[in-house]
Amino acid sequence: MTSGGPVSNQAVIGDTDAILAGNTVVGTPIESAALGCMWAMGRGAQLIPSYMPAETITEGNSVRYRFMLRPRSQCVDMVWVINARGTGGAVGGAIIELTTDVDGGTVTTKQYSVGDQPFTVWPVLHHQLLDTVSTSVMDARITIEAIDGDVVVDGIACYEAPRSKLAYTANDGGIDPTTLRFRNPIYNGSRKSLGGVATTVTKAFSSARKAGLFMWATGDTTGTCQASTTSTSSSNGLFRAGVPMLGRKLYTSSTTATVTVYVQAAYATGAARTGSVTFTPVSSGSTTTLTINQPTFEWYNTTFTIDCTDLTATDGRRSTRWDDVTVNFYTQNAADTLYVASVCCFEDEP
Amino acid sequence: MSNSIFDSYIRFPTSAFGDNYPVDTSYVRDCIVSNANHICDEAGQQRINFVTRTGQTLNGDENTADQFQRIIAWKCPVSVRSDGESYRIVFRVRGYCQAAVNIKVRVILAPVGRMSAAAEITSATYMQEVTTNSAADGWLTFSTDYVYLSQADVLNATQSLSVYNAVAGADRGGTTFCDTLLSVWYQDTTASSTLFYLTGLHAREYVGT
Repeated sequence: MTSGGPVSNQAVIGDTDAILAGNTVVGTPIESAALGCMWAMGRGAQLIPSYMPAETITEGNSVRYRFMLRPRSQCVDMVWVINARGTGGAVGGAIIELTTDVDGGTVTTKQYSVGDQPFTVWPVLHHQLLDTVSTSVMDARITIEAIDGDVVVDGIACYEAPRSKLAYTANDGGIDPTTLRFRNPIYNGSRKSLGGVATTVTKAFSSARKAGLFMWATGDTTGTCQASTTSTSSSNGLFRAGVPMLGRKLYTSSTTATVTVYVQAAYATGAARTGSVTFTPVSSGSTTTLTINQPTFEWYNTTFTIDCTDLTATDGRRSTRWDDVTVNFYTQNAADTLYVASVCCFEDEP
Repeated sequence: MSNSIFDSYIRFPTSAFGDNYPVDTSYVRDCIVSNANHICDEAGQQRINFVTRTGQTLNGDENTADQFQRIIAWKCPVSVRSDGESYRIVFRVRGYCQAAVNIKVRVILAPVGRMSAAAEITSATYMQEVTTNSAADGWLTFSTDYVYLSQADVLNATQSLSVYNAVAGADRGGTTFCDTLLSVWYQDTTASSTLFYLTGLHAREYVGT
C-alpha cells in the first residue's frame, strides 16, 4: 500500500481570519487548504451528467454510445450508471450486457439483470478501471446489448469513483499533511510543507473542474438510424429546448466560462457538401458553428462561452438567468442527411 | 456561502513559496487558503442535465390511483459542505400535462434506501413542489429552485465504499460518500388519471449562500 494524502468526505475550509499581517503564520489554516484541495480533486467528477436516451433495444441487438470526456488525472475508476428496464426476458425483466472501454484500452464486459418496472430506483453500476491516468480527452464507449428480452434505456451517467487518498505525485497532487502541523519547519518540499501546498493549490485549480456540463449520445450507426438526423437546409433543434449550463467562476473579473464541446457526426451525401451543428447560449446570443464534412462518424470540436457562477446569488445564476444553450443542426442541401450521434460539453483546464 | 475572500481565484507564482523566500501572511491568506476555499466552493458538479430530443415522446406511468407517482429516480452522489450539509442541488424541471388539469410536480433528494413515499412529505429542505396545468411543453417555475440534505440527512446518506487508489485495480482503500437519489414525482390533483410527461431535468451542485 502506497502512502498518500487523505481525501475527506466533506469539504475542508481554512479560516482566512486566522491569518493576519503581523501575526505568526501557523499551520492549521494551511493544513486545511491542503485537505480542501485534496477533497476537491479526490472526490471524483461527474463525467457524464445523467441523461435520458429513452431508446429501445430489441433482443439480440446492441447500441454503442460514445462520449468524449476529459477526466481528472486523479481518476482511476469510472462508474457507469445505467437505468434500464426490460420485457420478455426469462427472468421477468431482461438481461443486458454492458461493454466499456476507454480509447481502445482494456475492455470490460459484464451481464446484468434488470427489472420490468419503469424508471427503476436501482440502476446498474458498471466499473471501468483505467489502464493509465491521463489529462487528455478520452473516447469512452459503452455498448448496451439486449441479451434476453427487449430493453429500454432510461438513463446513462458516469462519474469518477472517489479516492481515499492521493499519492504524492504530480498526477494525483497529494500532499503530506503531517508536514504542515504545529512546530514543523516551513520549506518548499516536494508534496510537503508550504511550498508543496502552493503546488497543490495550482493543481487543484486545474483539476477540480466541472468535468461534465452536458453529455448526450445515441447509437453511432447510421444503419440503425439511432442517430438524430436532419435533411432540411433550415436550422433544426436537436433538442426540444436549449440546455441550461453554468460554468465555474475562475478569476475576480470573470463573468463567463469556456465550454469545450465535441460532436460526433457524419455527413451522408456528396464529398463537396457539408452540414453544420451550431451552439447558441442565451447569455451571449452568439452562434458557434461546427462544420461536418465526412461520410463516416468523426469527432469535431470547438469552444463557446457561457455564464459562470455568481457566488452572491442563492442559486448561483448570473443575473437570475438560465443560460440555455440551443443546439441546432442542418444540412447544406435540403435533400442531404446529417447524423449527429454525440454532443459532449465540459470545462477544460484553465 | 462563498468561503473565499474574493469569490474567485487569485493568480500567483508558486516560486513565491520557494525555499529562502520570506513567508508573507497576506500571500498565504490570499493565494493558499482563500484560493483553496474558492476551489472547494466551485467544486460542485453537474449531476443531471438533459432535454429530450426533438420529436421524442416519453411515456408517463399510468396514474389511476392519483397518488404521487415517481417518474424517474437518478443515482446522484452529492458533495458535502464543510458544515456537514450537502451542496445545494439547483434544479430545473421541464415537461407538460397530458391535459390542462392541475398536477403537482415534486423534486426530492433523498438518501439511497430511504426515499420516503412522496405523499407523506409536507415540508423538507430536500423537497420542492409546484402545481402546473400546462399542456404546453416548458420549464416549470418553482418558488425555490434548490433542494439539499441537512446534516442528519447527510449522515443517513453516507455509505462506506471500498475504492481503488491506483490504475488497473490496485491499492484499495476505504472511504465514505454521500449517496442519494434525485427523483421527480407527480400527482393529478383532480383524480382524472392525467399524466405528466418529463422532457428535461437539470441538477447541479452549488455551495449555496
